[in-house]
Amino acid sequence: MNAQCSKVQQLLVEFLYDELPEDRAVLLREHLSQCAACREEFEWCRRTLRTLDAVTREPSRAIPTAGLLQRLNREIDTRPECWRPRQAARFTLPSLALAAAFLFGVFVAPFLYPWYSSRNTASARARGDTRPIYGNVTGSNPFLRSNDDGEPSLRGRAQDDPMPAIEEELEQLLKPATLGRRSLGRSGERGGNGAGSVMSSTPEGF
Amino acid sequence: MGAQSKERSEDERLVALIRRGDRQAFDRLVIQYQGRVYYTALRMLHQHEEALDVAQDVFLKVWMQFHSLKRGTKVYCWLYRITVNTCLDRLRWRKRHPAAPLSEQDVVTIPEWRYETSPRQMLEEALWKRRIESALERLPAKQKAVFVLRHYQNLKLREIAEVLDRPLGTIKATLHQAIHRLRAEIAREDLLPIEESESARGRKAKEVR
Repeated sequence: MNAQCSKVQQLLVEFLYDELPEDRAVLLREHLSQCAACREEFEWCRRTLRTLDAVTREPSRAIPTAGLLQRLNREIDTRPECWRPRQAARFTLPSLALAAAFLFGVFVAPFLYPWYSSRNTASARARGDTRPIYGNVTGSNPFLRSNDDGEPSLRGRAQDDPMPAIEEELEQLLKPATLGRRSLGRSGERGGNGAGSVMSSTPEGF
Repeated sequence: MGAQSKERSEDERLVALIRRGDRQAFDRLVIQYQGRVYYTALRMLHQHEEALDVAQDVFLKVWMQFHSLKRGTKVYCWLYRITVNTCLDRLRWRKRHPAAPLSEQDVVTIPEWRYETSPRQMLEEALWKRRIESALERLPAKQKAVFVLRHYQNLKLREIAEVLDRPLGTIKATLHQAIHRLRAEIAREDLLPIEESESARGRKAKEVR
């Protein structure tokens, strides 16, 4: 058996089932007329398939699957885990809402509230705003920043602050709290660390 | 070809309806494919009751996993794939839990009456068919799957490759192995077609004289 014979063996199945393109079939027939070994192999396979065809020919008889559809429908109706289109829609809507909320939080919120995200950036410092952002307040309240005296205050923002009106309003709202913090700040000076004392909610003496 | 493409477009229409939850469209799909699914399972498993079970399982899986059917997948390919995989699972289970095989007499089907043949000839023919079928039963599971799809379901080799999600070369090689194996069995048991073997016997008798 040479290299051409092994190629013919690969094409033989397609040739037996009449699925080989005609240009290749011509070459294969030519080889079969010359090679006795391949011809014998082909004849054997063809006789085998002819024998099998006599058995595998399906007789035209009724399909014995009566009642399959009814049984199937009963099964689908009784199984709770079966897929139903409306259930799929119910599952999709909340997940879409959740995804939308997440995307809003990540991509849109920073543009709506730039005063929150820009305070810590280097660009604020580049503008010349070299004052400490929260002064000696190391807590997480973004509304508080220290004034020149090192006291927490809402004043002392940069001139180009985009939301001065809101800030004024917040200052009015937070005034009593600021006073309280001021006294706590003083006690912090005594203790050495003003930051911890400012954020502490425990009144002096407790 | 025209009938086939018409059937494919009808399939696509049914799939679109089933995606929207149309149970009647699903019923039509079941009616259209139940025969093919049943006969594929019957030829793989050789038991009527089990083939019916498989048909029910297959359509239940189809309904339950319909949302996972990718767009562009041919529904008949998907159905055949689920059928073959279910049958392969059952054959694996059988291999692990071997039971006594059915006796040959239980499953011999006598063909329809023909005036030109004698009852003796008919019985011989039935037994001959049964012996070839038992040779098919002994094929390894994967070879059997490819053989059944090609010979009983008349799928093209490319379609079988698509159904089983294997390269065309693998399908051709598997089918070639199956034919070789069956050829060896037929030769060993002298199971050539009756008329061929009779003429061969006649030739032999002449040679002896």
